[in-house]
Amino acid sequence: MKRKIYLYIWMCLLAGVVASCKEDALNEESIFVGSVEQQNDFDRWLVKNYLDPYNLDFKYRMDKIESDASYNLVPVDFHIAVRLAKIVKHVWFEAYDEAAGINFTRKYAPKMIHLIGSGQWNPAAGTLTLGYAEGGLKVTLTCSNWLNPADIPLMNEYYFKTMHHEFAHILHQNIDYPTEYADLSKGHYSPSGWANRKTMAEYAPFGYVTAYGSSQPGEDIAEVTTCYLTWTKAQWDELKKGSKIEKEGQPTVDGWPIIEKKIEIVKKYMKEHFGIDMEQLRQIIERRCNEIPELDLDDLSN
Amino acid sequence: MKNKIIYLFCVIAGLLQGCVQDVDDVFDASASDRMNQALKEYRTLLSSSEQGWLMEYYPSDIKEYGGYALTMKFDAKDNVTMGGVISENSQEAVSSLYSLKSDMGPTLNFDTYNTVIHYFSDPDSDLGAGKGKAFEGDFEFIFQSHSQDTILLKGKKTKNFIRMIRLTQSSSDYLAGAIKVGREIDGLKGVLGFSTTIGGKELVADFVYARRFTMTYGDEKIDAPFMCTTTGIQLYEPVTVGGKTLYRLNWSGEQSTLTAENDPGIVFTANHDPEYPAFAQYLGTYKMNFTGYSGKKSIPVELVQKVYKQSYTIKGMLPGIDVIMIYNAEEQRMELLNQSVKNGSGAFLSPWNVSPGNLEFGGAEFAKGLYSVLKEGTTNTYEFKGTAKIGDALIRAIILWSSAGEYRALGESRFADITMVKD
Repeated sequence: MKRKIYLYIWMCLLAGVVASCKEDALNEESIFVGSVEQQNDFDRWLVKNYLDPYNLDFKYRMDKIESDASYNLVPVDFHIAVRLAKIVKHVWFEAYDEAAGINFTRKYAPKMIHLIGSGQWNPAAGTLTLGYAEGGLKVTLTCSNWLNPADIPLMNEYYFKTMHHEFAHILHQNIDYPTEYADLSKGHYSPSGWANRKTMAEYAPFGYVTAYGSSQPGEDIAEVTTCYLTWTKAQWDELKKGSKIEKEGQPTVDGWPIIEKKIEIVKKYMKEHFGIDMEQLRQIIERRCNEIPELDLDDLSN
Repeated sequence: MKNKIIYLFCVIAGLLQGCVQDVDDVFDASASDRMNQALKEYRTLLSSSEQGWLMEYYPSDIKEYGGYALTMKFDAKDNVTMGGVISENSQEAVSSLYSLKSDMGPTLNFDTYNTVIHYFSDPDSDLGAGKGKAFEGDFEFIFQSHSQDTILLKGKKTKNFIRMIRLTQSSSDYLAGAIKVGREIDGLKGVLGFSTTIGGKELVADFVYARRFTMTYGDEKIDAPFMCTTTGIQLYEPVTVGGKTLYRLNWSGEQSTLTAENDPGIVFTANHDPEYPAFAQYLGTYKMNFTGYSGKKSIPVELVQKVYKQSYTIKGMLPGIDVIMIYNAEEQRMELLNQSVKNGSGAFLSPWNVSPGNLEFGGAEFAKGLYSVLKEGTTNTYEFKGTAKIGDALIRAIILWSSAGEYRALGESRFADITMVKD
């Protein structure tokens, strides 16, 4: 009898299972409702110039989901977004295409660029966050409404430095940089204290190109890379001067040989692993910056 | 046997249960279909208005700055053209993009920059609460409800209710009317607010911002942000006091009155600041006579209000540079005191006794200098006398001085024995 009870229970369960096996076909429509945005000429240009060649989503219409909700931000002006898209393509994407081939850019370039019109102000500290990136996939450029195509140093500072910096991180994630790099300024990195290093004398003598570079080796090498590609000779001369401290009765501190060594490692790393000649890339970028005035920044026909 | 039947039931129950898989849908379509449908309907509704829409816009979560009329004309391809009262240009038409999305319900988003609406939220601006904040207004809204002619939105950040009303006149006509009312109200001189009587008790509405009142009715205090319309003002929400509901008030520029639209018996009259006339008497144009570096001089100057009941700006005394004249409310007089020259030179307008020639350079601003006295037998001539002695002699003049000596870069550098004659 006991056996029979088990049998029936077993049958009961089986019946239930059989019954619940029946499955509806999946609804083809997603339950996630996207926006019902309409395509304009710029959107079509972006498909042709960013999505198709680089598989990159160039987001110029501000999306709160993509931005930090704890800040007050405003979107970019449409016409400025067009100009910035054309400049970023010419000076950034096509520079890497030229130096390393388009397949290199396709493989490693970020997959989304999101433009914010205003600065991202930190009211408590009174500071401004320029661009930032998440996981190497998405780069957010702030201060887009400040774009001035005639002011190359401003564009370097606000837009391109961020992009080269984040791009360097992506490359380092793919192929690690030599461990000896981290030893060059060992003992002087300060992951939280770097922000207090406000003058050049507080970081350059230890072999850092920027204060942010003194936070940790990974940021350091990204800063050296981006500064190498975007800085003018005057900026390097200033750094060289500022990296040497001579005080009477104290040993001379000179960070310049360290910086030179870091640059050497960066050049070797880029050449060996990606076939990129840094000096050639720097010249390409410089040339392309100077070509900006010749571009028709409002033309969306090609 | 009995058990067998029970188990058989079990089996049948299991089968039956397995069959009933679907719960009847309350709606005909899925949630996503209905959301898509709603967004389409909103797009059609927004673009259906030939003259566009009026948006009753209130920035800041406490509606600190009151409300502003914005106009918007939508097309079905994400384009919106806006105008607003801030620019004081009724022809304003600035284009940008809008999007309809679904998050927290169907939303209306102005997702490329438009000077009309992003004026209130641009953190690069020094206006309102300053850098990083501005007026803390919304540009993303959640649809709450709608009819053919009215759409109710809620600001995503401020949670303010923002209403859109179908315009039946052109944007420029509407804006011209609202700008005119706004200018007239802003142009009131020395008006603290308005008051009226309801149910035998006084209701006082004091300005706390150009578009915001604090109403006092007995012990009740009511915060009442408002906006200007073509006919007068409209409160953010109706206010009920003494059994009367106030919402829209008609403005009369000639009489400086506000009359309840729903009750012509309720008329607010302007409350004039009794201390204002004494301050205002000095506003206007003058001939400023003085002894300068090389003899007697007479120049035209103008006094305009700087801070209400506290100070004026003297225009024309120094070329392109504002000089501050203090209003001393207690003595009801003008005072021209030591102050830095506002051109970054480090020079000071310094009190000077002319002879034997002592002066006092720098120090705390607005500490020493000259004050006005109405000249006996005149109604429009003010003589400037010293407030203190430097050395043994009374101050008679001000002189432009820098750490390098007399500051001559502005042409005139000495102002001795000043009289100002009002035109």
